[in-house]
Amino acid sequence: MANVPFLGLKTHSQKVCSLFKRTLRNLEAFYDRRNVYRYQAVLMRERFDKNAQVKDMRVATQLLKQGEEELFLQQHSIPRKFPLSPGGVAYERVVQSPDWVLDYWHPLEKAQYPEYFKRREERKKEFIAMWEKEYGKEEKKDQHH
Amino acid sequence: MQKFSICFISFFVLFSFSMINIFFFSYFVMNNLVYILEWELISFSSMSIVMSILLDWMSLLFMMFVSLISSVVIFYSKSYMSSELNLNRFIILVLLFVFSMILLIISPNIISILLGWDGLGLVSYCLVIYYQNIKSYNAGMLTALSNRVGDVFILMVISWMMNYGSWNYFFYLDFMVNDYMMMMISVMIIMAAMTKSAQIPFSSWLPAAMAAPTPVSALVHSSTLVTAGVYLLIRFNSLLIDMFFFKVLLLLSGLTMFMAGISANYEFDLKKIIALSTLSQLGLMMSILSMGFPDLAFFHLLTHAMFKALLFMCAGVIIHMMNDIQDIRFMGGISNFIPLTCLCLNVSNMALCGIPFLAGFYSKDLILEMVSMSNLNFFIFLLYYVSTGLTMFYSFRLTMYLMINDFNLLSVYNLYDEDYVMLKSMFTLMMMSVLSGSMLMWSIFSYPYMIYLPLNIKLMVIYVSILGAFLGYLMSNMNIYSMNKYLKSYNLSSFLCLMWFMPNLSTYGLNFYFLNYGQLMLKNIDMGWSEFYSGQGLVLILKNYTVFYSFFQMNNNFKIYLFSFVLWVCFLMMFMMIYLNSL
Amino acid sequence: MMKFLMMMIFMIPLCFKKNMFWMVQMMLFLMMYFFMNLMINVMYYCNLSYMYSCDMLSYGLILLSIWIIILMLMSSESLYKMNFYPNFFMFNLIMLLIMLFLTFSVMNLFMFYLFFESSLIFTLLLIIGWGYQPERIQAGMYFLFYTLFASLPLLLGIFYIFNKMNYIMIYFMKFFNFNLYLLYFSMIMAFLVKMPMYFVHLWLPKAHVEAPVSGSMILAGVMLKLGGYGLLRVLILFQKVGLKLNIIFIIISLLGGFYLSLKCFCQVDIKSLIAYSSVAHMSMVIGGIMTMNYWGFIGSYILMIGHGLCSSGMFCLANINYERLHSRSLYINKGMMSLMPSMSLWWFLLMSSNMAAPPSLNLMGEISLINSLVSWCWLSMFLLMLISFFSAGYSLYLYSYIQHGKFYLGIYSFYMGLSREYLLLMLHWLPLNILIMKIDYFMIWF
Repeated sequence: MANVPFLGLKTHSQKVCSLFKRTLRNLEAFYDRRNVYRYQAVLMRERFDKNAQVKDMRVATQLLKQGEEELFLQQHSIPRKFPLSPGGVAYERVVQSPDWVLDYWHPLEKAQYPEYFKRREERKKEFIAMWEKEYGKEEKKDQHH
Repeated sequence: MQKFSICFISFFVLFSFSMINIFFFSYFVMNNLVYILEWELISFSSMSIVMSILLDWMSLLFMMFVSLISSVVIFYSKSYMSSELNLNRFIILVLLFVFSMILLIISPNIISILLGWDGLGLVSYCLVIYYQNIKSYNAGMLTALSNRVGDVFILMVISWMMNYGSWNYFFYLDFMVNDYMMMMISVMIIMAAMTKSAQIPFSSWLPAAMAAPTPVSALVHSSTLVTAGVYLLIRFNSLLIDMFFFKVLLLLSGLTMFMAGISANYEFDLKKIIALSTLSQLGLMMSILSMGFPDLAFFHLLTHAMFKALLFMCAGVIIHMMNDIQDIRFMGGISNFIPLTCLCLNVSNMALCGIPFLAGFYSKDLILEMVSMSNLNFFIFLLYYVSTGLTMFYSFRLTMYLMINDFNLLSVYNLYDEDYVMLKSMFTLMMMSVLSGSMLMWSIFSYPYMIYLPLNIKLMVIYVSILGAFLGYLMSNMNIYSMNKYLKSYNLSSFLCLMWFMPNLSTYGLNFYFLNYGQLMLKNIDMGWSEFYSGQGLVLILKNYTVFYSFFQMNNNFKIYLFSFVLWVCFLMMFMMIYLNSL
Repeated sequence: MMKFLMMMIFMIPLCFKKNMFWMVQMMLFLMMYFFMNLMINVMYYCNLSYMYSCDMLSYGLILLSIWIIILMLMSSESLYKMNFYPNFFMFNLIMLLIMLFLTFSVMNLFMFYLFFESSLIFTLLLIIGWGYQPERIQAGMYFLFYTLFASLPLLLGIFYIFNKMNYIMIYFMKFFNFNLYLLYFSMIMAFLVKMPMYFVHLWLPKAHVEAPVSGSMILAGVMLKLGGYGLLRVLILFQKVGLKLNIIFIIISLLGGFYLSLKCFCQVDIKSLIAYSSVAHMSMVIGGIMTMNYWGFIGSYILMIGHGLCSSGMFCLANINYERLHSRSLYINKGMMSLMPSMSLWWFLLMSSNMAAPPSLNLMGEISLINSLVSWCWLSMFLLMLISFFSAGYSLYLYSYIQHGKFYLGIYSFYMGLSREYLLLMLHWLPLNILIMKIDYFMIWF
């Protein structure tokens, strides 16, 4: 659900760990005071630990399946999300423009940040100089946008 | 430079406009004046399309409230949106919104009302998708398309109004009540108003629209835009008063009120809780309207606009300081950090609950008493009183979560109460939400309502409120500190907190069919049959015939020519034989 | 009328001089100005010379075609910059304008047919000459043969009328009345394909996708309106047959309008989406004309003018994006609001005009068409509601998909909107929303 690992293949222990983590997230959504949540988390950990020593893989798979079902039935309808993480309210609210967008600002807009753009122009010249030193001068061609 | 920012200029203009309006309002209400200005666009075939402006006490008062709230909200967004790159765009959008709202308020003509009505839909769409994330994109689409249903109904109303030769509905309401066409018109008007005011089949957009920036929510989705539907029905009220559809509206709006109250108790998003309480209050206005008390609905509309805008602004301050966290599970004990904001929040919450002598008390208590006086069935009565209790319930839950309990935010935080730009604007509205109830009560009701009730019914409001408050206290305490079994059943809790699955029904439940059908049509008609019968199919047939004939003509035409000659001679001889035999 | 014709003809040598691109545009502006000052009487043909004249109906459409041609020149500045046969391009546009002018102003039905068909040639040249992809040949063939196929019966029909009546002046057609089914179909099918009606609309999205921006503009702006103009002129002959048979076309076009607006949601190509949306709007126009009542006629006229300006503007916007991103795909044209915030305003304004938001001509036209169709049969209300609802749906879909959210990260070079482009869009939008103040010129014309 939450995390799709590389290639989608997971070992049994990975699956259990993922279930445990999701369970804790679910508990966090239910019990919002830290101490209450810790208590519930410890209880949950105990339930997981109880079955940690099961060697028979058939039983273990069954248990995992039961656990998933129980989690599904008890999931919170409004899970608790941090605002900037995926699914949160403020996730991707503001588009982070890449650097080159600044080159296309209007001169009036650029004039609002004189020092920054002065230094930016200097850096650009330095970069071009470095480039030309390394790779030689570029021949001028007619360039259309 | 700071003094002349767009926020302050717009604040000044709107505030003075509001003051002008209050002056004219008092003049108009004193002398009982109504002014209608008309500008005729065209008239032919005895129909005239006019742009008309109606100024009476109702439109002036509503304009005054809208411009006051919007001026304050714009002042507030100077601070709230201070780190925003496109502040100008934002303020201009808000101003456009106010402009369309005013156009809606002053036009008694069903064509010229479109100017405001469509404008509201479009501008609110722009405001909802103001932030660039997927959530707001989806919310904006849901909002705009739900509102567009109302626009379409208004367009249809225009086509039905054509029978009367003019679109000034104002002139026909009293005389055409029993007309068959007027019945169609009123059904469609009710539908349009229900979309704008987010009544039950269309109510999913209102909580979704909380993806907008908080000042927008304060202005648009609590106090002005959503009341446009109520306002339209107030204008149409004399037409609709005895109709069957108003009974339907009564039921639907009562259910909206109840549903929103319950969902607000399950919701954890601060803004969505307030949005759901708005929805609940809208249901209250709609239902009292559909029982035939338009002035009470208008009264509650105005007081509600004040304290709900204030509530949203307080929520905005909290969200702003908590660094965009809206989940009330992260909050707690903030009254120790930001007492002034919490003061405003409490005042508006209490006004919402109808605590005596705040703004909400005057309107809400009057409404409930009129409900008790009316001839209603038990179900509607129950819906009213349970919803009143639920209002107390979620207000107390909100207060408990935000203020009473211990602090629950991240370990790094910055809460401060010295943001005077926000505080000033909030205090303006706080004064109004304390005073506006009594002020309006004195000014707009020319004579008092007569209430005659047994003591227990009279005190019923107090009973349900106290019960609701107590339950809210208990529930949230239990919620916070111990087991909460009542949330554990996923089916029930998601049914209740997702507004009876209405958002799912109005998004995935609907668009799936239409998109699928469109795909099917594209595949089968555009790329299928009509291509087969006209474009490619014709080419195919012509090509096949060409190949067929060219096989005879070009490849081995000589052989075939000879062969056909032999055949032809054989046939000829055969026919000659037959012919000769028959002689 | 002759003076305008002469003016255009003498503009042809100008086209073949070097660097006269903007000069030609200025001359056309001048002509537009002259034409606007033409004395127009509301009810009758005026300015008669030889067999050309104009009444309000043709006056508005001639103005529209001059205006669109001017804006076409303005929008395809890149041809001039890249020296992509600009002289021949200008010549082509002038010839196209002459043909359109003659089509709208001629009074003889046969001559109308002649110019109607000859404008096809220059549009075809535009598409296959300046298009982008190899598929433009196929699109051109579609365009040519769809419209040609149905127009040959029209020619026969005109000859038949001439044989019967010895007169094919358009003005006198209101005194004839033919009660012949076959003639009815042969006379209107050409225009219905040109409009295009649903089922025979396939050429339009193809032609739009393959055409250069100027081709799309003239197609959406004027070529579709030729069909509407022809219907408005010819239907007056068939008032009796129309009462019986028009229901077929109304139903096809209303249902088709609904289906087409659903199809818009399945498009990933901006131009194709706009083309489908214009077919959907045109289907409402067909419905309005076919009701044969006053509201329907004026509504179709207003919506034709409004839609001509609006969809042409939207094709300009699509081209503005195309020139920067070299793609018309919705998957690549994303998040433009972060890159071109001012252009976003124009997208929004034209999009809202497309979905008939006030105060555009489209709204007035749609109101009139809805009035006519609902008064024709109230059950058409449901389809009209669906069409109107979904027209908002796809317009918003188009706008917000292009403008909202994150942008395509494969962009490495970009430039802001040029003032030429802003002027271009303003010249589209301004008449669209200002003309509502003088709506009586559109409403009282016959």
